[in-house]
Amino acid sequence: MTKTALILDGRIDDDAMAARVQESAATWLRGRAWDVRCHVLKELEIAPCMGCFGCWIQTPGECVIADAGRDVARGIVQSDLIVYLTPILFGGYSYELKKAIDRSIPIISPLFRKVKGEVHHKKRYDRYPNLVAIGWSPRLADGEEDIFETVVRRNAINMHTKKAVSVVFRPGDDEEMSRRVEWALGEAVGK
Amino acid sequence: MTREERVVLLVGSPKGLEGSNSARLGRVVTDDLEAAGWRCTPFHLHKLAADDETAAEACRVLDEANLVVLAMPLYVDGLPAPVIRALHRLVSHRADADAASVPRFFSIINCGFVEPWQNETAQNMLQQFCDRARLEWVGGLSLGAAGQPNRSVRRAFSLIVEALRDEVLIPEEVYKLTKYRVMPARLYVLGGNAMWRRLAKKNGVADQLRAKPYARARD
Repeated sequence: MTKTALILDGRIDDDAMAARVQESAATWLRGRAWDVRCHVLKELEIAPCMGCFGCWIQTPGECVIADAGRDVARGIVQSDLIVYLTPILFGGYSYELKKAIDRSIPIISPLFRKVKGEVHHKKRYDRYPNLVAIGWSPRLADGEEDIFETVVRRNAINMHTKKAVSVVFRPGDDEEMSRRVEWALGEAVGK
Repeated sequence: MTREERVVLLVGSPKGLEGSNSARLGRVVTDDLEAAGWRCTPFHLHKLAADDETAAEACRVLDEANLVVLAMPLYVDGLPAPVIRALHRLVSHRADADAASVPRFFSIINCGFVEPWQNETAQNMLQQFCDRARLEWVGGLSLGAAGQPNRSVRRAFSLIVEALRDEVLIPEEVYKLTKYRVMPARLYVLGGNAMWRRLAKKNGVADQLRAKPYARARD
C-alpha cells in the first residue's frame, strides 16, 4: 500500500529556501513511491488555538473552530510521515508552523498517563506518523540548534511519534541542504 | 525628581488580560510592584500579534520600561503561535530602538502537566528572544499544574517581587522552591483524568472521550 507524507511548510514570507527544501524533500519521497501532499501554511486560514479544550470535552477529537486547522490535524493522523519545514525563530518553529501544531492537539487524548516518570497525554489513535523537522536560519545563535532538537524530541513524546529526526542548517549551500534533508528522511523512513 | 519605575506585563494566553491563569500569575508580580509605586502597562500578545496599532503602542511603552514581565501557558512544548508572532514583531522594532534602552525581562510559564521542568524549552526560547530584542534576561519561573500555587510557590513569588523591585539578582531559592511537582504525578493523573471525564459528562460526550473521527479505514 502506498505510504503518505504530509509536508507542513512554515515559511513566513517569500522564502526561497522553503521552496527549495520542500522540492528536495518531495522529490526524494516521490522517488520512493510515496504519495506526498504539501500545505504552505501561511496560505491557509488557520486561526490560533483558543485554549478552550473543546476538542477534548465538547467535540472529542475535532477542534471546535471550522477552518483549515481541522484539515491539517486530519492530514497528520492519516499520514505515515510528517515533515515540518520552518525558519527557526528563537530556537523553535515559525508562527505559521506553530499555529498548525497548536491546533493539532485534538489528535491526542485529554487523559493523562505517566511516560518515563513524567505526565503526558494518552493516545487517541492506534498509530501516529514519524516526524522529520527541518529548520534553517541565516544567523543561528548559540543554543538555537539545541533548542530545536529538544523541542522536536519533546513533541515526539507528546504526539506519540515513534521516530523523530531533526536537522538544522544555514541557507546558502543547496548541495549540503539536499544531502541533509535526504539523510533526515532516510533516518525516519528507511533508505 | 526621579522618573517613575515602569513595568510592562505581556500576557500570552488566548484568554487575555482578564480571564486567564497567565494574567493572574503575571498580576501577582505586577500588582505588588504597582503597590510599591510602579506604573504597569499590560498588553495581550495575541492582540499585539494581530494589530499594528497595538504593536506600535507596545513597542513605544517597552522602550521606556524598566522591566518586562511575560506570563504565558506552555503550548505543545513551546510558545503559543501568536506569542511567537508578537515577539518577532518586537524584535524587528527593537533592532532600531535606542541602544540605551535595555529593560530587564522576567518570564512566568505555566503548563498543564504537573512537572514544572516541562517548561524549560520554552524558557530557553524566551532567552533567545531577549538576546535578539536587547532585553536583559533576569530569570524565569516555571510552574506545573496550570500554575496551582502552594506555600513554596507563594514564597517564590514574594522573593521574585522583592528582587525585581530592588533590581537585584533573582535568588537561587526561587528555583529551589519551585523545581518540584506540587503533588505526586500519580495523584495528578488520577485527579486530572477525573476532571476531564467530569467535564465531558457535563457536555454530554462522556462516551465519546476516546472518539477517533480521523481514523483511516486501513488502521
